[in-house]
Amino acid sequence: MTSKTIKVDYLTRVEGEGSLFLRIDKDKVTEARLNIFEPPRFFEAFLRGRSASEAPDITSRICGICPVAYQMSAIHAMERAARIRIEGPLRDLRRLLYCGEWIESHALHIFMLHAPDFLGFDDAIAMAREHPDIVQTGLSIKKAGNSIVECLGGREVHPINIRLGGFYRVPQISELEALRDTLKRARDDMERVIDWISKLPFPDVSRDYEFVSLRHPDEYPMNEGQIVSNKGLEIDVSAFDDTFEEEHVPHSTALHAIIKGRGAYFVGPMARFNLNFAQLSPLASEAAKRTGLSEGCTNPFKSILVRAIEVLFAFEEALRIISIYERPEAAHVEIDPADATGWAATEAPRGLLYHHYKIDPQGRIETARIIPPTSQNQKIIEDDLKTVAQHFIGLSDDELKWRCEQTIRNYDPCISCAAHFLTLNIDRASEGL
Amino acid sequence: MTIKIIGIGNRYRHDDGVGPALIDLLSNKPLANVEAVSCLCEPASLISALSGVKQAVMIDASQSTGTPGQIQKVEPDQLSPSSQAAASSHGFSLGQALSIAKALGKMPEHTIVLAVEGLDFGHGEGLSPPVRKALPELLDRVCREIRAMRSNDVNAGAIHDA
Repeated sequence: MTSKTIKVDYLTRVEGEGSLFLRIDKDKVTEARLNIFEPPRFFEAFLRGRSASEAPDITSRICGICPVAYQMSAIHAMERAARIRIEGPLRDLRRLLYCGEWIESHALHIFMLHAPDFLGFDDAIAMAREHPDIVQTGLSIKKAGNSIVECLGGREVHPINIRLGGFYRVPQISELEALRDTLKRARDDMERVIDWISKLPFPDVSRDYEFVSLRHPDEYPMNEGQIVSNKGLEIDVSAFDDTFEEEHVPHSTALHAIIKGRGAYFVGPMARFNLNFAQLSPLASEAAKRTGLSEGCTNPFKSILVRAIEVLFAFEEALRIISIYERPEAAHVEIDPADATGWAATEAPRGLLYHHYKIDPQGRIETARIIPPTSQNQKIIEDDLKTVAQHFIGLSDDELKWRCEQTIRNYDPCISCAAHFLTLNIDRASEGL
Repeated sequence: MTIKIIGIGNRYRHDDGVGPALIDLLSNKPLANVEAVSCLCEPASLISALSGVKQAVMIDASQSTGTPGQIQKVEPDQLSPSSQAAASSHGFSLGQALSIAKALGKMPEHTIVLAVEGLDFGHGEGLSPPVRKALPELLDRVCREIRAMRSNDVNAGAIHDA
């Protein structure tokens, strides 16, 4: 055998439409492509001419699972343009809302989409027949996250209560108190199930990554912080465009992001965990240590465990915020950015989400630029595929496809967010062809 | 015994909201020993809604080759957990959600689904004219299903008593 191609024409258990193509020459993986064929969605184009105040609601429509992330990045960018900082309970409520989204998104991915990969099940339905307790626990955990988003956002999906300067309505203390028992039960369930997740069979694969995330001096990053990496990057968000660049590649409708002069970088839960380990809550930190995780984890397959640690953290953080909540007199601060530029990066469940807006003197959006986490991770995913496929080169085509799809799901990619993004093709052309 | 009526769908996608629209109708005309709830087709919420329930009638919009407004009675086993829908991390089909509920042992002893053929699943509120016109018949079908379930209860009880 000299070479062959392996293809997966439609990747499952990811959001959006993409495929995978591998070319193998003489038992060496020579090419790995994550093809993204979902059409571009033109959100940046139809933001132009709209009021700055509409950006949170319009951009939240980019994603059904992480709308809060889009709302948060849009809001912070507009507030930066208006040179206003939101502090106190309104800031805390935003962080609480983000906790809800992290829990919803991570729980869905851990229990319904990624765990079946490790145990050889085709999907969550097959896994539920063999591990009903785990799937039931996962669904309860996700529902607890839903309850936070519903309480603060007005509904579970595509929340509608978020605006520049704060919220349309802020909850009564009693409304948050009513969440407390549900969150405590789900936190305890999560702590127990982390031990089960830590015993999943993790392939022994590691790479030398440049992890990039926000870092904040006082907290595990969600809404604010400097952009840092494990290789010396330390910049204000305003320097994003000078530091990172996006490039077109022929096989993707999503732009590939790189660090100028350095190349691919890794955003998401593993980056946050490795760069902010010291900021984890006590229970999350202890659970990480108990399961053998420490800062500097470079096995991408352990991302499922890192997500679980972040879910535990999010429950603790949510409970902390609820315990100190005092209802503000005003639900929002008036903000009308005009003739200004604003930018922000917040930590979506899948990683750094950057927004940049130029606002005209009438307060309308002149230009918008949105760089989602999946777009930033595409190159790292392709590099991982090469490494993993090479590591498992002796497997049959079907087994190799399985490993490659699992590798992609390590990143919980949201192709719909990135398309501006799966199917696997392995090319091992037979001898004589 | 309480029977649960679950209206499944998104009222902001026109005819997908036919289930919740029926629940709105029931809220104006509450039936004895009937609990009516609206629910998105999301496994965590749907399975929670089914928890502890013995009998359930679900109403969902369908998109097949039928006539808009047409009502079809479907058994849960007839809803396939199609693989294509499994492709998304963001949504589950009713067939998938019910398959997970069944695997978890959360399915009521007796469940039926009334599927209403939709016409317009675009963005926006309000049902299309043929689906809106079908609401009285849908309410009537739901009431008949409830009576049939209660009748089965009595018969089962009679058999048990015998």
